[in-house]
Amino acid sequence: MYSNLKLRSLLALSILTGNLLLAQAQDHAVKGRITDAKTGELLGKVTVKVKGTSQSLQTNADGTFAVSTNPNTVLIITSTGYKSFEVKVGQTNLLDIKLEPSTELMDEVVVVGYGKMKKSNLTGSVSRLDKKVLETGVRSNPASALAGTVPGIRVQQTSGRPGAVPKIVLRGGTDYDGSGTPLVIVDGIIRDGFNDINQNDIESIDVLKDASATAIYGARASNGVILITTKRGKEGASNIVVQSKIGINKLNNPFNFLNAKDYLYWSRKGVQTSGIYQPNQLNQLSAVGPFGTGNKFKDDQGNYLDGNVSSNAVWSTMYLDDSNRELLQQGWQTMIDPITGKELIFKNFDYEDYALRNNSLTQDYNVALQGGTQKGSYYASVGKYNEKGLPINTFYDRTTFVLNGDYKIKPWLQSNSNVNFAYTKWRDAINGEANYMTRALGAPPTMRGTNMNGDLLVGRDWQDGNPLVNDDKFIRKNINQKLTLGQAFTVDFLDNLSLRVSGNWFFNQETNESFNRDYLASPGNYVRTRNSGASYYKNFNQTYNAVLNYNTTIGEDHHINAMLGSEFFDSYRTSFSASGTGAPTDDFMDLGLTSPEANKRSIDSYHDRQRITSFFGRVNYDYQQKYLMTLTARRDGYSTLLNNRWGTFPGISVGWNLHNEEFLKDYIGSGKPVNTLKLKASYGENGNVDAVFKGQTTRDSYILQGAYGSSKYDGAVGYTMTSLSIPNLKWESLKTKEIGLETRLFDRLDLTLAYYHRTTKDKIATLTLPQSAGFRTIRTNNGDMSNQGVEVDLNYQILRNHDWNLSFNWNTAYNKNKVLKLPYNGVANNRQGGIQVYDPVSKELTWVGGTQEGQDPNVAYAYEAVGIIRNQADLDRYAGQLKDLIGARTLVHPDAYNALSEDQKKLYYPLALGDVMWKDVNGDGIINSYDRIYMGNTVPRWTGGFGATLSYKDFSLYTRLDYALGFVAYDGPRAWFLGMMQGTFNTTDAVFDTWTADNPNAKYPTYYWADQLFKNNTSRESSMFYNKGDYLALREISVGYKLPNTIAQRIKMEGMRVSLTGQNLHYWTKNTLFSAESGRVDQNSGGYPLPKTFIFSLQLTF
Amino acid sequence: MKKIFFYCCVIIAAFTSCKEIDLDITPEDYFANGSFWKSNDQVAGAMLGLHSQLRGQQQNLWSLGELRAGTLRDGTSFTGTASLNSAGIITQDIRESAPGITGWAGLYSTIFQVNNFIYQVEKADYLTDAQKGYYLGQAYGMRAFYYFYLFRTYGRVPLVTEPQAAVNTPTSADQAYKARTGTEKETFDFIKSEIDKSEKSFSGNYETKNQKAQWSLAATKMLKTEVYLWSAKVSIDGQSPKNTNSDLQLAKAAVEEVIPKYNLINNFADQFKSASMPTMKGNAEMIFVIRYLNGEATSFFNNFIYAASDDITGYMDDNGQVIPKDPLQTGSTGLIRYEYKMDLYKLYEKKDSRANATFLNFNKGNTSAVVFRKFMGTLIDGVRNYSDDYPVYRVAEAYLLLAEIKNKLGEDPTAEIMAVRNRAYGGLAPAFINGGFEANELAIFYERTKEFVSEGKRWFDLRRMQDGNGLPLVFRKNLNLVGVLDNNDNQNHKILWPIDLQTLTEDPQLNDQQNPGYKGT
Repeated sequence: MYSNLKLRSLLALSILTGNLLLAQAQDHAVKGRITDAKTGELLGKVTVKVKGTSQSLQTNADGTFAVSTNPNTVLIITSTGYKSFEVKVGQTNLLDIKLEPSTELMDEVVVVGYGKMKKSNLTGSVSRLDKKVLETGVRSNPASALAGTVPGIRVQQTSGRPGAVPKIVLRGGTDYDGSGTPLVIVDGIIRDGFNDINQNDIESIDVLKDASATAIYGARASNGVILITTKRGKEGASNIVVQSKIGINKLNNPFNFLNAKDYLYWSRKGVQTSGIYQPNQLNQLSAVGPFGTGNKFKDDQGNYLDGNVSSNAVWSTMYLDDSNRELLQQGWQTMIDPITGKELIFKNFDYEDYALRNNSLTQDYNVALQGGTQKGSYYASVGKYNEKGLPINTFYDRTTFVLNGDYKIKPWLQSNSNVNFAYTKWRDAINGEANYMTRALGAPPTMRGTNMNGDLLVGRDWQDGNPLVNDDKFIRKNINQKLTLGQAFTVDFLDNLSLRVSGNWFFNQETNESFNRDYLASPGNYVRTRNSGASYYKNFNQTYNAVLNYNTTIGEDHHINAMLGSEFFDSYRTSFSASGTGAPTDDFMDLGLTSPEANKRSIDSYHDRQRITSFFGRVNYDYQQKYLMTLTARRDGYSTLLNNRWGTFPGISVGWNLHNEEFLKDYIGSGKPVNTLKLKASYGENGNVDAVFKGQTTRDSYILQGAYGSSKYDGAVGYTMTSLSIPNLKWESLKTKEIGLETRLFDRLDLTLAYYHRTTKDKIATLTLPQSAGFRTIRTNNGDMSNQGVEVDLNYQILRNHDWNLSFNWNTAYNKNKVLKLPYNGVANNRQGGIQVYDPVSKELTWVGGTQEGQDPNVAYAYEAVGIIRNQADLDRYAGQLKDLIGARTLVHPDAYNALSEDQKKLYYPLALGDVMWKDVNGDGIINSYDRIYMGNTVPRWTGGFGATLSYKDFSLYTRLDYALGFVAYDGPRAWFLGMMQGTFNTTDAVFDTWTADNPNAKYPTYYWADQLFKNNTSRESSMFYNKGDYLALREISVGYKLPNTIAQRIKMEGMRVSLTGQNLHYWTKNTLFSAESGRVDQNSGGYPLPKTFIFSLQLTF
Repeated sequence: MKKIFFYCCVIIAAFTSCKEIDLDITPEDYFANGSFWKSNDQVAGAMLGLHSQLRGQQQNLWSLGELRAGTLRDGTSFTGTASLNSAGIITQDIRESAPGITGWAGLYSTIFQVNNFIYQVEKADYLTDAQKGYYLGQAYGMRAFYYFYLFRTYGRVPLVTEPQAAVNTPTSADQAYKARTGTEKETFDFIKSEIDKSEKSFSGNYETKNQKAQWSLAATKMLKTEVYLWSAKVSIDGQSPKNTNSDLQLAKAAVEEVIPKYNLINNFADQFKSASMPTMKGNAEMIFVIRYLNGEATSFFNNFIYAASDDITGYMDDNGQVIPKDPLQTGSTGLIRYEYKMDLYKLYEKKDSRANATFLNFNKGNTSAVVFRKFMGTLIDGVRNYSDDYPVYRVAEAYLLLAEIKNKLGEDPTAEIMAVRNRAYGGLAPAFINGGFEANELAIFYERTKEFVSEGKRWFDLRRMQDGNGLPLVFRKNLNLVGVLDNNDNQNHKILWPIDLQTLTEDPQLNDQQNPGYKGT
């Protein structure tokens, strides 16, 4: 059972890859035994490598191994948690190897701007994503992997759409509204974000958080930098990895809509209630409509009516009579009308059956090849990702290709080349995901579904009807291609002096084509405009840089590592679009077929360029590995800015490795409770201008130059000033101060703590001018703000022996934003925006919200529902002298209403049992906009995650959870459905808990038809629909099994791994929104919930 | 090694000195502020831009003039399927907390552009005096036009005449604060002086561009007529008009100069069909129109038409004929958000061609209703395109304004009234009988009501026109379809609109500057 076989098969492989270095003289057999130097425990699964080759093996469970090699071979023994050990085989036949436990921090190498650094030398704040996260789940891009894994990063996944990218904010963001997107850099190239990056190609993700780390990226890096490094070939490794993941996505719909019977009951009761106030609304009960009885089955001549032709045959609701009794044989149902007591006939229709897939499939396949020798190495991979969405006919499909090649052309010249290509296609829900997944699913369920021929009916119209009817009429072709080409040369002038020059091109191009075949827009109405549109854009980013590296040691103890560089960035965006209508045929989308008549075609092109020129440098210095210091500086010139174009951004960080101090040897070190301890402090500055572009749909780099936008009038071009010129706008300058420590305790617990304080000065933000200024908003350097917070990262190795391995990790971050200063404007706190409310204590009017000095702008205020008027006593007590001005008309007590003149009555509504009692904050008997109260923060204070990894022999279990705490969420859709605000649409099962005479203790007020036209019980934004946003998400749980090497080898493999993973399995939360990670959804809006996904994964390594 | 180092230095030097890294880049596709206001073509384009903006305001201006005029229904459309918009405004339920319109009716953003135009053109040395005069005549006229809406809606308003944000970018909101004028008269005098500037700048040039779709001297004269007629009849700052006679004379002179230049179109309905009848574009009756065009902009008059899903079967028209399916050929474009009262339709006599040119009458059982059909646009590929010109001033109004002036002067308005009425009846209108001031005023009022449905004038008519006691008709609730407000403390403040709280609070200079009667409502 010795592992010779393994070695031989490896050898065979290495011959294949041309690695013949050690193929000779296999005459010396040697056995070995590896033990823990301290405990004497035999160590299994230790890696034994033959130095200078790709050959390696793992020890058996009893810690033994055997190789057959020549005496000059050097073996390298490595094992996690132990110091690596080298031994020359020599003439002995038995090697007895004792491994010293490693007391050092695991000395990972992390990627920092324009270079790499040992973690032990690092003084800035850099977090590295645990690689395990990327191995298990399926995701269209790696952004969601960051959820709960890196302290200080908030990941908000508010869309389950295939290919959707979550929102990512570092340390509370630098914008007043708590947003701000980190810079994403892949292999040195700035990308627009995480889209279309294949996680399987990622070697590492490093997050640069404090300004001493990000200052090297100067401009644009103020919200942190996420550095993604793709895999490259390694010397000595040579394999093929084939990976396949298949995931099943399950819908997670937050709404329980009523069936047709309940719908009819509640809608008709709702209209009856509203009819008390507007009697003409009662006509609806007998009109043509979803709950009206005016619908027809046959026309006057007795012919069947077709709901795709006549609008009076769309809805099933009718009084049962002889003309329609035959429908009972076709699955129609009856019920007693709660209004008239007559018998209603109707049919139930469930939009979900047609609009959504029950399950959808995600497939992710990847083949990666890598190999390397001393001179060159190579990594190539092809990936295919296909995710079907839950709405019918939606998908995201991506093909990726990566080729990274490195070669030492001359002893002094190294070349690195890379190609990274992604080709994506997708189709989204035809009607916007918010509409499609919320509003449209709540369309009335009394739709007939089919006509008498059995054809599907479109329903109300193409947007709020059965989407399957027209689905094939809407041709949508979206294609995006991202191509990165990079070439770098490193010239080694001396051992310690090198120059790296690189050029990178990044193409991002997209075509979106759409064409509407003739489609049934609503019953009897075909739209035959045949809109055809095509648009194309291309972003071409060029980055060139040259970086000089120098390192030296002065004396024995002073280590200096210096870098000096310059960079030029040019981004050019061009686009072209055209559309037309009126083609003579709907067979082809060819734009050439569209009608050439006036105003039927439109065409546009667009160009936009921005440039940044930069100079930067960094010096790392350490004295005896005890005292560490990093100095960085960057100077950027940015074309978008005009009179204040250049900015300089310095950073400094220092560290102190206490465990390397002689005088602390008795307290810190191997075998002591504290093994290592590093203290860090940093200060750095960044610039930022991103806020200039905020809210732009297409990038406008010239925005500060002002613009005269064109519009057409009478066929000619008219101009109006559409943006102001703001020549004096300057860089936001950000200063981050941070202190932190890193320590390892009891040989098994790694802890990192950090406190940061970031101020953003001259914040570029929107200043709202008074209405009379004519221009409502301008971008200015509008004040200062701060973020401060604490981050904790903890890894605890609970158990580790030759069968078991259990570790636990937890990280958390607290962040608080505050506005420090705003331009003087003559009002208290120089407040901008905001609302006036009564202070609950002093009862005086006070200003809240908006942007105010000394406050966090992200707060929510709303009316407080103190209860329901459950009985007459409630009504008299609450409404005796009350005037509620926030109803659709002024709301008063019924007695007060009855005392009004007929004319006056038109301006009031009487309150009734079942209406909401609102908090009258100052007790003046008037409910007005000043009676809103504080609901909470809209942005979480706490974010973080935890998880555990457990392995037993070849089995492993991995879990990951994340959370966000300390915010409130507003559920507008539920309020909208519960107020029947659309007028005919369905409602949710919450309606069963609305006030009626029979259910006086209900949670919700009386169900009105069109609440917004009456009492505004649900349509006014109130505490009734504000919930605590706090959530804990069971993000991932994964069980894996790795085929034992011995078996794998028998089938000529290096390894095989299978795993079963569940993703986004559950949220523990009071937040009722479609996504618990969302903080607010307005009425008549909604979204695409994140599906639960179950993934089977298979990985083969050859 | 030194060689390598040298070459590298050369490469880097070449790279950094490259011209491509110039950071001064300007837009390739449009004018930045620094490149505009350099030529006559640009100024002409800017003037079109002002008109495009006016078109953007059309529904807004319509709302100010039409919603409160008492002719619209609230509640649910007659088809039972759509709830009608703006119910609170239509029922005069306007309060500080439910103001109906906000942000000074959004008019300052358009005024900003006019201010900028005037600022730039006044100092333009690349224009001839004639060009400059004509442009300024238009711009001053349009500015007065907007301020007149503001004045009639709010009374005292901030008078902003400089494009401050464009000239001197504010870095703080307080640099842009602007108080309301101290008195209504101040606002009104400003409007009059603007009209004066406009007239002077035009210096008699009656040229009209873009087939009546641009502001002209005639439009200024019409505005002048309206303004001075208002001045002659409506109380200001709580004071009765002081210079009634001279104001009337000014108004009269202005409108009499306009009338001979235009002619009534024989067929009432045709004049609005600029989209479907090309010859009607800028027809002889039109003085100033807002131009809509397929593919460029369409109006909101689809909001008056039944929806495709509405059940309109079984209805008869006014002649008892069965109304066919989709009688207006909407091509599924409609949705009834606004519906006129049946009582309005009943004002028309049977022979009045305006009745069915303005409305389509639906009758079934107890239900009688009308659908507004004046601006139906044209049918393109089976889809209705609401692209008819929208008249701001047409000669029919000039006649009726002159009638009103004459009536106030004690002269006989018969000829003017009959001119309009005869056209409506195909020449066979019942004769108008001069019946004294109040009777004549009401006759003119009703004539205007029937003539200008949905042309956004009736609310202002209610405020300007008066009964025998000199009280505005807005308070004459005892007459059919006339008054809409009680003349008491509960309601008489509502002749002006409230200022919304946000506008009030965004500018400290407006603190406690709410219009009377609205505070705390």
